[in-house]
Amino acid sequence: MRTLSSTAGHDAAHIGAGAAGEAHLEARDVVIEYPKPGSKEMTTAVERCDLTLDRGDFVCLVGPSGCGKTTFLNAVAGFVKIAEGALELDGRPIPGPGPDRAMVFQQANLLPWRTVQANVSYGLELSRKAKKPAARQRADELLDLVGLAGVGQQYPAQLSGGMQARVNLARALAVDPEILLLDEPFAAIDAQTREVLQVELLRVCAAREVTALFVTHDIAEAAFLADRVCVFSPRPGRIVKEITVPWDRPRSHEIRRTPEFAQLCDEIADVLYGVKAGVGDEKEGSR
Amino acid sequence: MSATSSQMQAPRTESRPGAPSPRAQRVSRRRLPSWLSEQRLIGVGAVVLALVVWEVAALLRLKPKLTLPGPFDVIDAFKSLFEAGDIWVDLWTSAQELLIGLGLAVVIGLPLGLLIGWYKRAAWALNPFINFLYATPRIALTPLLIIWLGIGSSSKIAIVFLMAFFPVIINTAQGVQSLEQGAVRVARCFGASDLQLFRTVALPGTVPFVASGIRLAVGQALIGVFVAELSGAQHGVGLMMSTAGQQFQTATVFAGLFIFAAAGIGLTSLLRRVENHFAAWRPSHD
Ligand SMILES: Nc1ncnc2c1ncn2[C@@H]1O[C@H](COP(=O)(O)OP(=O)(O)O)[C@@H](O)[C@H]1O
Ligand SMILES: [Mg+2]
Repeated sequence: MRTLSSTAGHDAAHIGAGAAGEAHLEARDVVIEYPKPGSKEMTTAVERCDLTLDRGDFVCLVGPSGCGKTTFLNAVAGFVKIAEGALELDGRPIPGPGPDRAMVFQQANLLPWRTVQANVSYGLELSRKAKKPAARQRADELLDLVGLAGVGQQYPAQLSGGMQARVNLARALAVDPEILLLDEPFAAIDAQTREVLQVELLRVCAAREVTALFVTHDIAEAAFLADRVCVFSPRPGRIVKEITVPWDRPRSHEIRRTPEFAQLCDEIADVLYGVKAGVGDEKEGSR
Repeated sequence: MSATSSQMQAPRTESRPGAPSPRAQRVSRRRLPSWLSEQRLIGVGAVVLALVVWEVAALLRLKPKLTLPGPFDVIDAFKSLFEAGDIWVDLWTSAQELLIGLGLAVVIGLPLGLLIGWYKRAAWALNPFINFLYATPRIALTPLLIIWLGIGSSSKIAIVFLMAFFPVIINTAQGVQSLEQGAVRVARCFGASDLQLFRTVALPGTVPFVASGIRLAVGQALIGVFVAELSGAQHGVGLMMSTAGQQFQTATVFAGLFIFAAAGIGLTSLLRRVENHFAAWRPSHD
């Protein structure tokens, strides 16, 4: 297997963790189960998952649908309890949802009765961290950051899908999370807008110095965004390979056209479809 | 034959394709004043037409005047009603029954609806009663309520309440139950407490459901007022109508009918205004 040079972006983006050598987010042998409907048995959604994120890392999870990516993300968010193993944030088990982690959902899920500005400041309002005028000002700053200056007084129904995705991101950033959890946030968006949003996301992440855990089923998206791409097996999901991406972040569109990028996508696809089909030569749909 | 064909040709030469007549252009470009939209124009036109047909039918005496009075007879009936003055007492009585019954239905139905929409166990406990009362024709409880509460206002209010209560509680509960789960997850993700979730998601999200529930309730409440007054009352527009009916004052019956209709339309459009105020975020439909 062709190996990519390991001057990985996450080392460059590393920004002073707490104790030296302590991972920011660490999953060790994590098992997550759901009760089978109508019986006392459990089905395993995530099987012995190992993953380590340092501060400032950008890690993408790719895998066939139903393999437990969302479930794993929900466990990190604190919505889902793990059955076995350890899932720790700065060395402490995750107790439940918290303001240090913010989720960006696939569906923008904006509250339709709130203005865009009020949607962005929603998290701040709930945490009572900021007074109303301050929260509004902050919302405007973030709208500016995601390229939506001036639409604060509009309602979500007036925005396009791409704009809603930006609001979705701004809302998560507004609470100043340490970890950004993104669950296929651009899956419902057209290909062109998606590529623009990917560049924007990298720019914003660099500006805010956040750690990001990004779920996608789009191989090129994972290759473009991540410092490391973790490929899941089909259900029950397990990380079968971690692939390091050689470029520093933020990145620009140009790298998409390099042969290295195509190679990287192929490498991911090989693992993904090899695992899926049990054979190594199914390259169809790798693009 | 030749006359018809030349008539048919005339307009054709006037409006050649590619060169629309300047007159037609001007007409289509002219803007109507803002209060006079096309929609309103057509609506008013249709009503006027219906009134004319009614008047013509009355003038043709298809039925004796006693059974089918014309619009002008109804206007006369209105005049004499207001000259006699008794109508004020009737209006006041019916309006009170309607508004108090409706108000109680909202004040009690809304929180209960939120409760059973929010807490499954509350729904399990209350659903048998709600289903029972919803399935029975509640108006059939009128005799019972009159026995219990007498023929005064309180029995009427009770009936109006019973009629209006169910659309409010059922719609509200449904509104809470069909809340966008995505919105709930977002709130939870940001660590919303139950109370915050309720205030920032459940309440605003149910506004459209509550509003349509209350609008349905207005219709039901009007039925309640009318039927309750038929089964024994001292005053009221419904009573006035039934008395007039027994005396074959058909025009007066029509007058009462229009009073009910006006009340319904007035309340409904008032509600729509309130609703629009609370739902400015919804993409407009016109
Ligand atoms: N709430 C749930 N209850 C029971 N089973 C679930 C639930 N959520 C997900 N699952 C199951 O867990 C597996 C993983 O789901 P998910 O994490 O959503 O996959 P992915 O996001 O990778 O597509 C699926 O087989 C799904 O059926
Ligand atoms: Mg998923």
